[in-house]
Amino acid sequence: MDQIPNSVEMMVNMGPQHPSTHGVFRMVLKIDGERIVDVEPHIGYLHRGSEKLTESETYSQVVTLFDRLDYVSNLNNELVFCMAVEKLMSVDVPERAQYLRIILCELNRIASHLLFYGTYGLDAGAITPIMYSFRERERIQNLFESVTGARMMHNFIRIGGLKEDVPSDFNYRVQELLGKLSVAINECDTLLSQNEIFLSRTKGVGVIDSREALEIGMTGPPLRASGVIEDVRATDPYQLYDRFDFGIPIGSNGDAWDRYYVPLEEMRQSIIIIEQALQQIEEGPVVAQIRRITRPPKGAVFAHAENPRGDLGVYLVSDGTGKPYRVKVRPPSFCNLQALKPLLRDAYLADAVIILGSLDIIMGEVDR
Amino acid sequence: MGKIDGESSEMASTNPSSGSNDEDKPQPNARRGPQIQLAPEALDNDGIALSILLTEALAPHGPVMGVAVDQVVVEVAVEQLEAAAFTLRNNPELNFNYFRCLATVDYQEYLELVYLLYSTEFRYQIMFKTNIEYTSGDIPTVTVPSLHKIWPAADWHERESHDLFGVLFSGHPNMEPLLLYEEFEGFPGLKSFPFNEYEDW
Repeated sequence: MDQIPNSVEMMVNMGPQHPSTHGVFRMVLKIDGERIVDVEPHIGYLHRGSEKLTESETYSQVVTLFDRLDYVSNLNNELVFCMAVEKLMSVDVPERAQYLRIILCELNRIASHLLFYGTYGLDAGAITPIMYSFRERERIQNLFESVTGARMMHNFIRIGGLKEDVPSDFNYRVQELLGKLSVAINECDTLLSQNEIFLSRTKGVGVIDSREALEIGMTGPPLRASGVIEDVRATDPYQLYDRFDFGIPIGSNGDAWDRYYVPLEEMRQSIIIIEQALQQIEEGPVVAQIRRITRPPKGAVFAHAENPRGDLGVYLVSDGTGKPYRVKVRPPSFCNLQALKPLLRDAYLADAVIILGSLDIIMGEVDR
Repeated sequence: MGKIDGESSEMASTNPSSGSNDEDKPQPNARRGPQIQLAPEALDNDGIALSILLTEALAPHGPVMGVAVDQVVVEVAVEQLEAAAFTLRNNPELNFNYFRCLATVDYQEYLELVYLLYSTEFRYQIMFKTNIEYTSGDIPTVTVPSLHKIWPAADWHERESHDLFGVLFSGHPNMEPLLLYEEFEGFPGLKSFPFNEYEDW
């Protein structure tokens, strides 16, 4: 963009204590009038050294640290670490455990996307959506509470399977929940998606094409919104995902509205996956026969899975002892947040919150 | 919620933990001094084909091939890193267009940089490795060429590696601390960092 003569560039600081930064995130915006010329994101306010902490914990304790990375999709995080250890140890997880993992993870995906839906409405200035989405999220949280005993930090997925079997009325309760959720997702859709004000705030805002999105390392729904079919559940199936028939929603414009709508569609696909899983699931053990003290063989392994926010990877190095030698987390939000710079360049200052919100970042996993 | 909590704890008591099973403990002394085993190598046919393809494509750069459970590992010397990375990115048969992650591992004698790369076209994924020796004291002083020109996504990953491990990247546009604050001294990722001996602040 050409600089207007006699114009003065101004620095505007946003965050770290700002309601629409979804945590403690700060960005310094350089603006020229209403246009953003440059942006410098500052992260690390929530850096707890999770990766270093893992080196002084036993394998089963590390699972609890993974709960606290992306703190709205805890079960998905636990799964990835357990998958990495199981891959290193060549553990065959019982099928029932895998089905239950998928059901719980997909429910968690819906819960996480509902949170995004609600807070994105807030970012755009709509107060009502979060009331609807949190009502539904509450139902999922209640189910999680009855299954795992905790509403958020579950520590339910263990190396080799699950902590315990689910309550006897689990199937019935999930079926009941799915019925309510599919109604509610349609309700949410009609409430916000085609709202004229919302459309004018998000359509054509923060556009990124597929080539640039891949180059900058975007992942998950924001990448698929740019039209790239890249979903670990389909491209590199883990657990039993290759047994399900489901669609991968993609966007066509790569703008903020697409990044908002892809998760909404994904919730419907998650319901389809859970319905299939409930039909296929059979009785059986929920944990593999492994030693109580986990000592994986010496070596390195990479495991990844599709989290609500994208491709969460774990690079695990074991030296054959009871504690990991190194755990490197590849957090999807971290990678998506890198795209903020190209997205905000030349955007209006008033759109900064809308564009940041559409990336759906969770600072817990950005900073680790 | 009290009723449901009661149900789940009831389920727990009726399901004895199978982890305590003694069947898979053949030797009585296995518990005390276990022998360190090596991770399994389970490369499928596609992986073997990729391994051969990489050996040919990277031949000028002297690659050392390896396997990490189910992924191909390519190791090159740090001097060859940039050229080899360029080949990986631009060779039409490989086309590693997605930079997934940079993991730095401190082996106390040397640092290992693991670039996790992915090709969205062929669905290849590899671990691209290089080692940097410690030349003086605790901190590695060898400079690593920055790969952000080949994969713009490497930007923050390299900054993080510099932040936590002190790896020096040449040609990187902005090496300011990312996760740590500016006044922080030391590299907390290294094994030599005094982890439990912090002072109250």
